[in-house]
Amino acid sequence: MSARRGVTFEVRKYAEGRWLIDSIFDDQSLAVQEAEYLVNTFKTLMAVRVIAVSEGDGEYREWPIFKYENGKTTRSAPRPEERRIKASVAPPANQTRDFEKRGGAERAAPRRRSFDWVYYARLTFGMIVVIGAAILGVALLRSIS
Amino acid sequence: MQPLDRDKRLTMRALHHWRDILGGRAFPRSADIDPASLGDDWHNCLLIGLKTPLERSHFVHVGCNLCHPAGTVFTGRPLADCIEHTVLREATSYIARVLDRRVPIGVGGSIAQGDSAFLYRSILMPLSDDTGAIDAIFGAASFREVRCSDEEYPS
Repeated sequence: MSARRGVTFEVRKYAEGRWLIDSIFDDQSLAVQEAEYLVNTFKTLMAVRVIAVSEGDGEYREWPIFKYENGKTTRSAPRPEERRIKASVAPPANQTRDFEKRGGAERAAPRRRSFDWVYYARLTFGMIVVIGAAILGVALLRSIS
Repeated sequence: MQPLDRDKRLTMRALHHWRDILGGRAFPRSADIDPASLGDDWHNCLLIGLKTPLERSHFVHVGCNLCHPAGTVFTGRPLADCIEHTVLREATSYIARVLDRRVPIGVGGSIAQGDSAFLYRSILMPLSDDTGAIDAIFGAASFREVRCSDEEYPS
């Protein structure tokens, strides 16, 4: 068995003025544990993050799981679609678990597009607000002059 | 620096040893691996000398707990000598990813051996002798036999 395709968890640290990947795990708890170790051990680190990365089927997605910045730690819950996928593949209580197929259902689950739709809607709205503000600003300057 | 035994997971202890010997370089040297510091964990560690192509790479050290069949001496033998469906085989199956990403990578999984199932957790870490090119891999793996209802990975 090779490393599972699907979600991996990258521990990233901000050092030398840029973000560097420190280590990669296929287990979220280990990645967060290692991020906490870095924060507690290397006091000079300005920021540490754990980023979940989903690759496959020509798609690449990433989202934060753990953030440490300016002495403050925040943890993110799994994305809503992640929870839905996990819930849909949970075996009945009396079903024997098949280790060899572990993770297969997560990979086979259809990808949700609602996240992208909301993101682009927000982006468009933000751009409209910025452009509107710019036009108003120019009009105001002209009226003053 | 926290003591080595601060973490209950063997793979994380090995990773922290790798960090301890990093010494400000991008990668530690294989000569800096200190079996004495690792204690009993050394029996679950492996050291691989890399060659091109990768199939020519060979084991420099394989801890006795990872040798299967028990007692097999892997030192000096090529990676291909690992038997399939063993922890050693699984723990060395993603060397190419480590070479590609150039960072430690931890992977867990399960292995079916006849009527038994084993959960394992492994980690591979790049080593380099000053040139910047990764010329060796340091690894560690732990495993345990499980019932099919078990969910926890080994410590």
